[in-house]
Amino acid sequence: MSALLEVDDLKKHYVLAGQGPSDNPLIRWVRSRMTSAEDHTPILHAVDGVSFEINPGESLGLVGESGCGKSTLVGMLARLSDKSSGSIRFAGKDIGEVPSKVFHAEPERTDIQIVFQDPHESLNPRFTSFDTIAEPLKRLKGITDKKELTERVEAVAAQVDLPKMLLSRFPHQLSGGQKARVNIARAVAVEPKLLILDEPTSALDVSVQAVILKLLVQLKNDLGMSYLFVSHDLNVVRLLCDRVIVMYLGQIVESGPAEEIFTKPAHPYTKALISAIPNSAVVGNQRVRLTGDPKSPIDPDPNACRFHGRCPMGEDKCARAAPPKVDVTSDHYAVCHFAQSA
Amino acid sequence: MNERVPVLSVKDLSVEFRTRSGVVKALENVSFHVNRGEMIGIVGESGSGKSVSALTAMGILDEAGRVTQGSINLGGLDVLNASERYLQEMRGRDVSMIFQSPRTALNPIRTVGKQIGDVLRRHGSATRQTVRAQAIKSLMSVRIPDPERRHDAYPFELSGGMCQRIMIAMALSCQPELLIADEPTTGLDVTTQAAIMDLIKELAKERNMATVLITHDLGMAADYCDRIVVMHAGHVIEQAPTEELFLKPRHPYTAKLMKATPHGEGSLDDIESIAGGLPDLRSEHLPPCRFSARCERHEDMCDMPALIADEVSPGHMVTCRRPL
Ligand SMILES: Nc1ncnc2c1ncn2[C@@H]1O[C@H](COP(=O)(O)OP(=O)(O)OP(=O)(O)O)[C@@H](O)[C@H]1O
Ligand SMILES: Nc1ncnc2c1ncn2[C@@H]1O[C@H](COP(=O)(O)OP(=O)(O)OP(=O)(O)O)[C@@H](O)[C@H]1O
Ligand code: SF4
Ligand SMILES: [Mg+2]
Ligand SMILES: [Mg+2]
Repeated sequence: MSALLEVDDLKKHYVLAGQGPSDNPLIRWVRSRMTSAEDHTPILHAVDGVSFEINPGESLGLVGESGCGKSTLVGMLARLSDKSSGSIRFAGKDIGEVPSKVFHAEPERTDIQIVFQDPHESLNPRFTSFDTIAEPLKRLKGITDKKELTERVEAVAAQVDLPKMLLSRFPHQLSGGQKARVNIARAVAVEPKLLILDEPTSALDVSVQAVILKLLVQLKNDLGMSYLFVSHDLNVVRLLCDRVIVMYLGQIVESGPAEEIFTKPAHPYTKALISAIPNSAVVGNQRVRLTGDPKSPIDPDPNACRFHGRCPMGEDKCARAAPPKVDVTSDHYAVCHFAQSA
Repeated sequence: MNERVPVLSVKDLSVEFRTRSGVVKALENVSFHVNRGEMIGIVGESGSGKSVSALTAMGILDEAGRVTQGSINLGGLDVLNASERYLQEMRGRDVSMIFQSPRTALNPIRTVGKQIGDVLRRHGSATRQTVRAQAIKSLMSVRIPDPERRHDAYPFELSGGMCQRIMIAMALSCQPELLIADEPTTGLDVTTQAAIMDLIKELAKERNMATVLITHDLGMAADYCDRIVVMHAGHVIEQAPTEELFLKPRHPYTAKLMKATPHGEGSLDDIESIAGGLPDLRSEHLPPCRFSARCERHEDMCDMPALIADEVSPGHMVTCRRPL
């Protein structure tokens, strides 16, 4: 089976504003006089060499601490922002080479849909819920017939448990969770091949959450939809995902089948995450509390493990050499000096 | 000040919104209070009126909204009859709110460090010389890595969870007497979540601050709140001290809500979602109990008018004719 999405060594680096080399030769000259340091530009490594695949009909979970690069990564995959380097292949085509500004004209535009992290920010304040959900149906699916459009919109609204009476409302007239559902409906409406969900359930209460998760399972079974599911809620990831990747400061530190990740995590960061799940029985119920501050994503040391300093297992060598990628089983790996093959 | 004097007390509050398709009765007879040094949780499903209650208490109701009855007392101030100038002064001095969508609440064209600095200066807790150092300290307290450099970042340069933490840092810099936190940590990973909640709890204790935590995460409410207020379709249907509510929920909705929480192992089918949805709040003839259409215990007596909260044990109020 060939993968639907293949991501290879993908990077996104931000040159920090105001601190980089100036275009103005005079300023450059003044700076060179004022500091003895070379004209170094601080670079923020938001996504730093990420590789993975998603197969048709597969749901991949993406977890990791706030600020580790999840939204930046999915933004590149949905072609809303451009990569710094690496490749993104979708159904065999290198879509990473298409600049994000012109991607909307590509046929893949319909096949990749994204549900954004902030449901409020991503809604047009002048669009009613109906308009929001109808817009991609009109633009991408070419549905213009009023009756058909209404039927389609009402059907998806019902699927995401969004009451029909809310379709005529504007975003400011909706609660947080209602806005989240409008966003999910909009993305699901065009039946994409790959649906990227960035924290879709965090604004939802448990009851609506269950409805959405069941819908996702159903769409996967009926239409063979694939998911990239970003969530901090590990219970939800466990329920929905076949495989999981764990990110830490821009890099993947562990990847494997969901069940294995949850029952036999191999990376110390994953272990800490899993042990922090309320009422989790895994890892012998020993809560691993992380102490110390996370390192900065700005100019990270290439010759050290990025988790070193917070890692309960860390030793001297972790500060001196980047950890190797260790295959735990054939489809499960961890990037750590102390990871072992099973 | 007296411990038992509530910092915020909301009484019999009803709020309506005009929309193109009718009047939405978003809140009806909502009453709750929070004492000094106390943390209460407001829980309930999406659309139940949690944010509207908080916004009304702060005196920031949407233009289309109208308070039809009730009163709000905030540290002695009659919010519903106070002038806008007064309210503005109070917000940010005595009360801070962490909004549900943090990035949109930040100023997009000012660095986050400066925004925190503005708050610190306004409250006289920093001078021009110390403001940068204090803002950095404040960033550190919400666990923003590399705070010296992040001080100069704009909101768009930060992740969703970081913006959320900036909002929290700003709200806490005010040293408010009352903090209203609307879903403050949703979207944050478990470790960061715990760190932030611990910080809020610690500051609350240190300053004897009253806190209203709005959340749909029952586990978090259980961990941090002294008392919990449960809302459903614009009504407060139950409130009780935390432990009592979890051990002995009396309202059928509260009991359902607890059952609907996922618990690690198990599959999707094990989660009981609560059948039916919220009633259409525009309807002229909403039943006295807005849960009745979804309730298995419903009987004719439930449809009799004038359903009021009943104190079943000290501090435990239930609004149900046939409590469990
Ligand atoms: N436009 C930008 N300029 C500079 N830095 C940026 C920009 N956008 C994001 N970053 C940085 O990239 C890193 C990753 O951010 P990202 O939004 O991807 O995190 P995340 O994993 O989605 O976090 P969260 O869970 O909090 O949403 C952060 O350190 C952030 O500050
Ligand atoms: N300006 C408005 N016009 C009309 N209806 C409104 C307006 N603002 C809120 N509502 C409605 O009032 C009800 C309560 O909304 P509120 O935002 O308080 O919900 P919530 O409990 O905070 O939900 P969530 O958990 O989803 O944020 C909802 O049904 C919402 O649609
Ligand atoms: S390499 Fe060392 S510091 Fe990094 S995760 Fe493994 S044990 Fe911890
Ligand atoms: Mg994000
Ligand atoms: Mg809300």
